Amino acid sequence: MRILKTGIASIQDLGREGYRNMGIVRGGVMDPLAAQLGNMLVANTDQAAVAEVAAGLFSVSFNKTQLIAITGSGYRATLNEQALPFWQPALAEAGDTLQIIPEKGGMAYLSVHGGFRIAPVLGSRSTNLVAGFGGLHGRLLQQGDELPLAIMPEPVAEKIIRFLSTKENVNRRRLAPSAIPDYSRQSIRFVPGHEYGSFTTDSRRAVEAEAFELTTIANRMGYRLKGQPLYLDMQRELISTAVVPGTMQVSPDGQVLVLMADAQTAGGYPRIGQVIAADLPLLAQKTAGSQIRFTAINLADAENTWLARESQLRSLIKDYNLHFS
Amino acid sequence: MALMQAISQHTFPGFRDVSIAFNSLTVFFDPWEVYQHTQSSPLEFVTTWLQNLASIITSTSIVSGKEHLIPVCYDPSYGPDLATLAAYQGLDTEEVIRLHTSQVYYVFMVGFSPGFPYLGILPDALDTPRKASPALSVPAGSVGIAGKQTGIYPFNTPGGWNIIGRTPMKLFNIGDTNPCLLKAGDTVRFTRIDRQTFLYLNQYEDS
Repeated sequence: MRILKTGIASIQDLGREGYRNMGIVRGGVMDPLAAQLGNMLVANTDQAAVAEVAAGLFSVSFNKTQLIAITGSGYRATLNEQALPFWQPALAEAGDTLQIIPEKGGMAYLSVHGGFRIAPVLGSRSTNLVAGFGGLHGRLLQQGDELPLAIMPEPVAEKIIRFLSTKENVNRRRLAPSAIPDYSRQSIRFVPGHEYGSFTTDSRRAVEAEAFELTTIANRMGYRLKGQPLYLDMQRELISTAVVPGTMQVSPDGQVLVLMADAQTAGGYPRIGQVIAADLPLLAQKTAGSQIRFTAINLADAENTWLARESQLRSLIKDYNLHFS
Repeated sequence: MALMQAISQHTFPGFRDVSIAFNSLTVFFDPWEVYQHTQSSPLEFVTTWLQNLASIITSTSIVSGKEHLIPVCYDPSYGPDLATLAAYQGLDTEEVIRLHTSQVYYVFMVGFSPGFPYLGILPDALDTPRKASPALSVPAGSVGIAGKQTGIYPFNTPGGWNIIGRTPMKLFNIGDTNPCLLKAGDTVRFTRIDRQTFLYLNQYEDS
């Protein structure tokens, strides 16, 4: 597969675990749910590497028949200039050109059966842009890059390919609407953070009562928000501790920075909250100017929400694979 | 450190990582995988597991880390904030360099960017707040001071620490079996080198 044109796009998977004491973050896709569903549609495991399109037009050509799927939000796709719906498996034939075209922007994912066959670094194919390793040569994708793909489809993929090869079946394996993530929800759920109790009563009220606008300072490391300033009841220096994607840091000017996939491993700003993992994909898909509202929930509810979501995803993947085996 | 070693030796299904910072330890796990084994709240399981492990740790004796000697060139071209920091402290730059190279530092943690060591504790005379506005790009190898800590930037990244010099040593090399030169628990001593020596030893091909 050859990159014809690209804006900001990189190779990612679910990230690398086990290296935080070296300062190496998990990283990985910004919207894991979209990437996992894409991988499911092309009969990949969760670990397969996908291309994450974060900005600009992304266009590739294929030199061999491939089973592909596009997922995510804020873009539309065409295959040889014909509209290609998201959230369904599709066949790209040798010589076909795929375009992923930005609309309002967000994150789009291209999954190909077999995943991109780049050598993993420290157990993952995710691109670590800070240290320049992983992914393709440790950098963003560039025009002219060749991405190695699997040669032989596995049995389930073989069956999907055979199914899609019949003309009337082409658009008949779209995900059910209930299985497609709803990115329109404005409200993001969070669990109160370590320093929540140290914020003024007014700040604790404001974080839930007021809307926060996503600024243009938004990248894989973090999303900076603009809204009513939040203050500690008493200014004090904190000792750096671990931070993770979803951590809502408040900088000295009172503004919120939500850490995202590539955030550093430790931070020293007060944490008013932690966005729940189940809502991180929703936040990742928000674009500059989006109005965001936060709702506090307790840790037990956050945990149950996650387990329920994971359970749904697992049974969906199981059903899909059964259907084609 | 003792608890971290115990955790690494007794992991549970779903365990992903453990990291330490100055005075805290964080355990990372996959709630779904834990739930497959416990069929109850993963958070409660891990909390209990951690408490039990912590209660049986008898020895707080730390397995001592490696000792490192790190060469630093304090030439003004590599230490753009050295003069400002000296003026802030009412010292001359020679005195700042003498103090910085006069003691052994402990690696409290590695974080911020891959391989970035947080070293301490600095002598009070060098305790200096971060710069009001961070530099957009701090060159790899730069040695900085923030509060009572000193650290080294392994990559060209933005940063707010006061830069007083630069080391020719690479702190992070993905090609190595152990990519990080320094680990939490190691100790570091800085030694002064001149510009000639820096250029001779320089491991950063692009600077």
